[in-house]
Amino acid sequence: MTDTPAPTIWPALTYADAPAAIRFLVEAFGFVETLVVPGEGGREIAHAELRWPEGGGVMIGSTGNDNEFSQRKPGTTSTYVVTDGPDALFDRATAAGAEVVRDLRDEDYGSRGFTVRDPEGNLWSFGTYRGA
Amino acid sequence: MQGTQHAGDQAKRVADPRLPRLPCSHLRRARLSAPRPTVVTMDEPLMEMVAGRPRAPLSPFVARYTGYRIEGAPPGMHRGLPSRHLTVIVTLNGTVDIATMPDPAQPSGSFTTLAGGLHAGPALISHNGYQHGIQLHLTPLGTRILLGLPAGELANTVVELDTLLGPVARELIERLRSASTWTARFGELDNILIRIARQRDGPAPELRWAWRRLIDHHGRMEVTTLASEVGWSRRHLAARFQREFGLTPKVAGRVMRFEVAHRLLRASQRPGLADVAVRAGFYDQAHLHREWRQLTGCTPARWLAEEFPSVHDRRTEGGGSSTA
Repeated sequence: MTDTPAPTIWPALTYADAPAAIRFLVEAFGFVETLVVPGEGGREIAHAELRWPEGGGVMIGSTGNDNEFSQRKPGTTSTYVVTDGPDALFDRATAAGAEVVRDLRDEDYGSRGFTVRDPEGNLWSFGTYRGA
Repeated sequence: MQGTQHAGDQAKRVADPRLPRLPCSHLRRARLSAPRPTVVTMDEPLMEMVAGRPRAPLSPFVARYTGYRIEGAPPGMHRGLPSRHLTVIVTLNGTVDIATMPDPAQPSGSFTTLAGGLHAGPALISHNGYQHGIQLHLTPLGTRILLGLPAGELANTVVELDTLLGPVARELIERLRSASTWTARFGELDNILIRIARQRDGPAPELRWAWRRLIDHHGRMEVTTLASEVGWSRRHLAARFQREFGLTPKVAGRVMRFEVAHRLLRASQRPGLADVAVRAGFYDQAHLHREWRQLTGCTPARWLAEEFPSVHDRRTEGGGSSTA
């Protein structure tokens, strides 16, 4: 079992349909849910945390909650996620219906990865590049 | 996934009551810092644990949900420890096999769903390394409303959920098993629980007050004081309290103090046992030791050794994990 350090930076994304977004992130990419706090209504998520199995995580909330984050326009976030298995992940993501923005390719800076769009328009890039 | 033959062999070994290894823990904390990598190697155990909060209208009745999925872990036993919450479990796969009930006079059993009352001794649950389900942490104040009977009738007892909920138990299983994420499962639970929360009365106001006061004081409150606050005799309060919740106020207070000690010992900055004893309201370390033995079946030192085999493990497991 590979121990990964606890995340200290959490991208936070706002979705109009957070439960559907979480399902997509779990099924298409392999994020793992760790915490779910519902909002007042039946469909809203006040706060959810998803871990990336190779380290890191994202926080998810719904529009329609009574806070500043819920006022954010959904679908405007770009997130880059490090993975050692971009090929398998590309197959998984596209099989689950992720819209390809940049095909799987080798970059001149040594990374191999791809970019897809989630159902609400956010861009998710995955690659082997771990930062300089 | 390991072969079923292998898993079966492991299960047989687990069933042996002389099994030396007996992790003294309540559903051992999964290593959230290391969920399954995208590319899984066959022999790595999967341990997933997800905390969920019920929707606001349910919060007086259900403290939290815990989703768990464990695959390929070493088989063994774990101890279901006493707490202030009743336990409801809906399995998503397999069964919960209780080898020793909190009341050892009750026969052992395998459960697809279960509701268990408050208890002041450990339950021993055998597992073959594969566990998948959702646990609801029910408050004794919500038991009448959600399960249709006072918590006291379930004290030291474990029953299948359908004996209490009828066909709704089957519906719960089906809805939870067909949902594809924990978020969706917790949402289904919210919907069904809100629906079945009938317009029944909860416990008498005096008993609700007494329970809340004990909780607020972490179990450190004299029964005489409680009795005078609610305006009942000590005897009457003790009897009504036990009938409603399943434990006497004195024993409930002991369980709550134990929970404080349990929480302190799980913290990332763990105090020494003597300090824990004082902070949790025990007379001294010997008192803590005696209580721990009675409530869990093992000593705090042994529990610590089994739960946190090394400081390194404790640090890595504790970091940023769920609030379950």
